[in-house]
Amino acid sequence: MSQDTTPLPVADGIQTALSGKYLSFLLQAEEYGVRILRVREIIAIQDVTPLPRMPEYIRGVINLRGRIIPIIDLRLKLGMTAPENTAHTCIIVLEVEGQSEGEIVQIGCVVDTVSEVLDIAAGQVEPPPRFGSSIPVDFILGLGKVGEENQEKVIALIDIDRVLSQSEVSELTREASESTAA
Amino acid sequence: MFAVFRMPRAPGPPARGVAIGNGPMPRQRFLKASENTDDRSHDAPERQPYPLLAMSIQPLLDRLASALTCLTPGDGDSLSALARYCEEVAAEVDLGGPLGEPIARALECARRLAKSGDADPGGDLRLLEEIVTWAQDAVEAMEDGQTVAAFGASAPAAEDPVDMELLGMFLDSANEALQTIEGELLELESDPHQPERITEVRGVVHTLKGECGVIPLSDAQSLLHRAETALDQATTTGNVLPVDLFLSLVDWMKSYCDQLAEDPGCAAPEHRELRDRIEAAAEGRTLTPAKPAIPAAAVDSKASAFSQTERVLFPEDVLGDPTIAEFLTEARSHLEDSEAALLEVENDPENIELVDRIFRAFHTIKGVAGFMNMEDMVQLAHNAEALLDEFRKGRMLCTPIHISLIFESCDSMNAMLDYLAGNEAPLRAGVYQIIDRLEAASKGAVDIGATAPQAASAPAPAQAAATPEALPEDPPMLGDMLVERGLLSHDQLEACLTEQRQLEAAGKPKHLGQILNDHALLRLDDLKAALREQTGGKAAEEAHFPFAEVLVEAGLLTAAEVKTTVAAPVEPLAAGSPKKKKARIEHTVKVATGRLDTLVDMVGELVIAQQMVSQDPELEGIRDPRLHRNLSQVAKITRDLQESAMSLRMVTLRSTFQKMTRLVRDVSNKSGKSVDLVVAGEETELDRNVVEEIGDPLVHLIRNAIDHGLEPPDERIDVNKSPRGQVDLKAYHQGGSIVIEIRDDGRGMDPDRILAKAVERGLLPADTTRDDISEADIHRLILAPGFSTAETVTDISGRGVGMDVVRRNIEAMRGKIDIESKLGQGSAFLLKLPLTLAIIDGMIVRVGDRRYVIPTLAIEQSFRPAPGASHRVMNDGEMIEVRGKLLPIHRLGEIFHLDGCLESIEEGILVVIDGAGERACLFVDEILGQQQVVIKNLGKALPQTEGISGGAILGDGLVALILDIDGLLTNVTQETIPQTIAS
Repeated sequence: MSQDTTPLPVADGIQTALSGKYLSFLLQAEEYGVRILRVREIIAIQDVTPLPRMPEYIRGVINLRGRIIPIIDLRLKLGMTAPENTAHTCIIVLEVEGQSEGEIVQIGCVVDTVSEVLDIAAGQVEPPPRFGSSIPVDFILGLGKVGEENQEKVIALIDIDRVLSQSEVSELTREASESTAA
Repeated sequence: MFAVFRMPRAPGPPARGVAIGNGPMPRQRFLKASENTDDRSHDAPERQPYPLLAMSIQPLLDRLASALTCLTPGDGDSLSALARYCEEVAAEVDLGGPLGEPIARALECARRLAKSGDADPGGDLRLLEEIVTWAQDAVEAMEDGQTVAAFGASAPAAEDPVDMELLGMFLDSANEALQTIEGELLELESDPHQPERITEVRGVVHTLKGECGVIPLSDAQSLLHRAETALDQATTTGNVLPVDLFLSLVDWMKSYCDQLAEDPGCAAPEHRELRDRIEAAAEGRTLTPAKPAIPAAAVDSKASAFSQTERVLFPEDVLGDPTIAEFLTEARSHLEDSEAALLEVENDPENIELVDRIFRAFHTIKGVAGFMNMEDMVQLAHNAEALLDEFRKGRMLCTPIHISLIFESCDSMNAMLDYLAGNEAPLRAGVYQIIDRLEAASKGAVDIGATAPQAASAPAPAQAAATPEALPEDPPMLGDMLVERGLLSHDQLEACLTEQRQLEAAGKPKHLGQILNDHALLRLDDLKAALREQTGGKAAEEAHFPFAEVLVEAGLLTAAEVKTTVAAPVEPLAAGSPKKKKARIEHTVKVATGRLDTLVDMVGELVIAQQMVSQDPELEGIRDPRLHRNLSQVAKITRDLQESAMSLRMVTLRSTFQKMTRLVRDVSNKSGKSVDLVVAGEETELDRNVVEEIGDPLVHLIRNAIDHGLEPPDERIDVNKSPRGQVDLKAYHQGGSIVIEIRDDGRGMDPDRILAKAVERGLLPADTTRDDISEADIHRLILAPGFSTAETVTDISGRGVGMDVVRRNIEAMRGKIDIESKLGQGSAFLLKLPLTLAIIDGMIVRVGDRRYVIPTLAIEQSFRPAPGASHRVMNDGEMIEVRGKLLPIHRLGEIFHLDGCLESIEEGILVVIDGAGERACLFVDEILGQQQVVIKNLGKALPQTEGISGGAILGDGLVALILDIDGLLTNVTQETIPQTIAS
């Protein structure tokens, strides 16, 4: 792997902190990565019991070996269009921080497909881009550049805790404006 | 197996007394120096500035420290010994040196203590302890060449680091002990002339005191000690016990315990006044040492006072006492531990710590045996303790002869414990022989070994029955002998004995041997051998032991009883072989509640998994009877497992109700009303979680009942009621749930007044009249937040917060409150609670392609409406008449915005639900069935879902949502539900 770009000294801390193993998955042909340590298991998509009166991105709940866990549609959560279930659609069961200190809760995220486990070195990480306030990027930890010279791809490394704990209000207002626009 | 559960209040395993007795050394600090002397002697001398001083003082200090540790408040001897040790220390200390001044103070304290005998004037003991601890540290510091901190400066810091584990156990057991005391005191208050209750209280107080000493909590210890004296005073003089005073002591202890749980190092709360009051109560006593329970040891031999056959006898009620089992377990483990310690002492006779362990074991046994009136046991423990004390205080060295004597004491103690457990009682003479020898030994007799062989020749208590000497007085029963030898089963014996009695009744008495012979149950040779043994060597043929005679002689039946048995022929089997009264031993294990919850959760998952397997559609096609049999076997076991897992969490309401008894007493005193509380059904078992939650609502309801419900005495007399009010507190099962009923015979609720108040507060439209609203609805109004009809807010109630809290707590438990009230006759609050919070009975309904669970508790009825029965109002609100009342219809499909549900009411089912104080009909497509479901949390990651209380995993593995009827109705009535909360 090419390490030609010497990282800036300032960013070094973040980049080292972000290096490590990631599970990458696809959402609407975009590739995202989540820390492998947060992944508990990957299961096939199954019949989800919808919850009434919940934001649309909350698909519902499933029974995971006797435990009920909520299922989030990451596409909807990240503001994409609702997906069709395919043979590749699966649920990544993640462990995220609960509301109280030190509490770990399980949550399932529906993704289009999981692709691979990537080892991302410090030199391959770049800080998240800024698109202005219209596109929320605070849940993106950084961008990982992987692959060979000419087919390099960029993976958005997401902070799953941030994604899920993002203020419901802003989320809901955004959704509301979308639904009125539609 | 039976488990005792309790929430540990402080870290540490929640074991009880066991640990107090044989746990880690409580005041390790005091003894630390002696433990470390070894390694210090190797390397220390070269760099010690005061080596000589340290060397000479250290052992003296250590001895003083251990004397302090073991000090029994009120024991004049140990106090004077303390002063003596103190003087010795002072003699060694250079009074001008750094140790001088504090040691001089300590000496003063010790002298004062010795002079005053019993009381602890001005915390001398505490000061003394502080100084000694400090001095030990100081000497250590000198040895290490460090500077010595001045006494005052280091005193607070030098405070013992409290052993957290020990403290946890103490708090745990103290809590229980206090509850016992409280219960007994309340009983005593209603009938003061129950000396046995005072004794019981005294016993518990004594134990508690001992435990306080171990922690150590010297303030509590001295208070309890005074309380004990006061109790003795009450027993001896027959005075009425000042219950109030003792209750305030209990309260004080409770608050101290609570504080300790928060902050293990905290000082005791203010108690000077309490102490003075208790002291005043104890006033007037003769100045005897405070140990009246233990008779002073007589010098002459007591063993000779008993015949060879007299056996240890404990009071009848002790043998039937349910707490015996706990005592047995505890005492046995104490003994086991002391035997282990004894073996170690053999190699290390000077190890005071080991001796202390044994000492404490005997001491604890003595304490419990004392209040159970087991005199022989107390005596033995006491003498063993006295001997051990000599070693402990260094007055005597523990020799192998002593050790074997103590071993024998342990054996003898064990034999008595066996008796408690239902075995034969040991011979009294044997026990007292050991007691005598212990006493002689503690008086310094060196020839105790000489009497030992004599002891060995005396029948060992446990086997006495089988030895020939005992025979003339005590012939064993033939039948029992045979059973013991394994020649005959119990059932066979019983059958033969019955037959024998029948024959006897018929006038044809036969020997048991003959009957056995007739039935050819035994070989004749065996029988003869047994008979020979029974008759003490005489040939069986010569023996004339009619069975009845044998019985009479064995002391198992009196002659009169035999006659009645003969006269009244066939009796049930049991009478044939008189059963010994046995203390039933229920072994208990204390389990952390967390583990238990995990178990229950996992069993819940197992149930679901089992259902998923057995309802698997694939199985439908398989016609294998074996598979189906096995599957149903699994189902049965799973069910049983679930049941027993659930029962593990069940606890009785006893302690909750007991708290209420106390509450009633306090509240009635405060409000000046005399109240009788009638409690029933405290045996009722409920899930631990429910019991924990029920306390607060009950407190509110009972306060209300007394403060608002009951009239003052004069008002009661005016309306021809007894001046004493009555409050009933009942618990009982009713259709799968538990009902707790609080009923008073007071003035009842005035519907008009409630209505007026509700209108005034804007809870109802201003023009509401009595005709608009049912009485039950009016009663429900009092559950509204902030509602109070009380004119004055009293200390006890009236702020209107209570009922709201009650309602919320009960609803949080998925319970219900029913209110019954008749003006002038009283009110009743019925709390309907689920047996457990983990499982509910639910009705599974289908709406569209979704299934929901409605808690059965909320369902009144369900029916298929007749065509045209429903009405529409303003082209929107639908309603239907159910039993003469118009109820609104809510379509579940509409509320939840589901697709593909039924449109026409006539095709579906209406479920009449009752929640949030109103009834309504819920329209669903179909009822699929009714079953118990395990409630699952929907996951903490989700926001609170209105109208849904959780999820249940159904047989096919899919999740069905459980409806929260109250939340649903509140929501529906407030607004039309939007698609998402978003819009």
